[in-house]
Amino acid sequence: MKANTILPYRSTPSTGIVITGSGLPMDTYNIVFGDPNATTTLYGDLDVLVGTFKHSQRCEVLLIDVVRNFIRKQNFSELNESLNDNEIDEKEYDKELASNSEKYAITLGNLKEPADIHCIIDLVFKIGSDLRDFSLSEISEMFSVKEDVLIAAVKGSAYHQLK
Amino acid sequence: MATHCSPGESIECNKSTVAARKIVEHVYVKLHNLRGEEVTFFKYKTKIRAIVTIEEELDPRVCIMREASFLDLNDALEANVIEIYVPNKVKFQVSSNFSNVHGIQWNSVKGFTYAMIVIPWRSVLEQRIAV
Repeated sequence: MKANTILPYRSTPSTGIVITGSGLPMDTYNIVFGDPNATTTLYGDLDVLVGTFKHSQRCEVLLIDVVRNFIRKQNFSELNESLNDNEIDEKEYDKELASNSEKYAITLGNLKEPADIHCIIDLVFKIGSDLRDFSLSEISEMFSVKEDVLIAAVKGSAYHQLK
Repeated sequence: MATHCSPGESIECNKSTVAARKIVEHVYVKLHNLRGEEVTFFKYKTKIRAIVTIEEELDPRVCIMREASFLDLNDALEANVIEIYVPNKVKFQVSSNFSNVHGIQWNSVKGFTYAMIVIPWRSVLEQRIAV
């Protein structure tokens, strides 16, 4: 197969990234980002390419979690402001939290996939520390993972970039 | 009665006293207890210096959130940063002359309290690093 050949879409994953090719190892794959006319051709082993895209897709899922948790924090902060400004009373405040806890509560649990720790470290590293030095509890709330689970996972990985 | 100051140590009780130089965080979180049930908490985080003391033991005296939690009356956590999980919103009052020089924010929490040391005293940290 020639490089830079645009093949028709085979599937459309949620990321908008489409992998086309013959399926043979060490083949050339055209990676199409959204618009099929704008292509970037990569050369490489199928396993490496598939691994890279799985990592990207998992990072996207985690980033969506980060944004949703940020919105929950904002919602909670606004609800507290409403209470402090006497726009709502404590009964309404408690009722709102009880009836719409999903809008306000950040769930802290285990890693959904063991390899998620690599994505989390990668994302935290990419976000950088120029805006803020993240604490462990902030990262835990961002990614919905309990702090002790994060510590155990980082100890088990080759990375130590989390503070 | 004992004062605990190592990282990761925790207490659980029915009533507690929280005294801290500053309460810096206030988040609403959902955790799983030891029985696997989802429980929502107001999470507070202290800064600089904090003491959380058990005023009333759990009844029955069985850990709810963490198997290693201390449950005895007057058991206390003392550290730089402590995370405190309570089911209801708490208003911390400002009081002066806690350490002769500094004021504190404090309150008696009437209800289940789960607290855990995140960052201990510097001296404890240094001992651990030395070991």
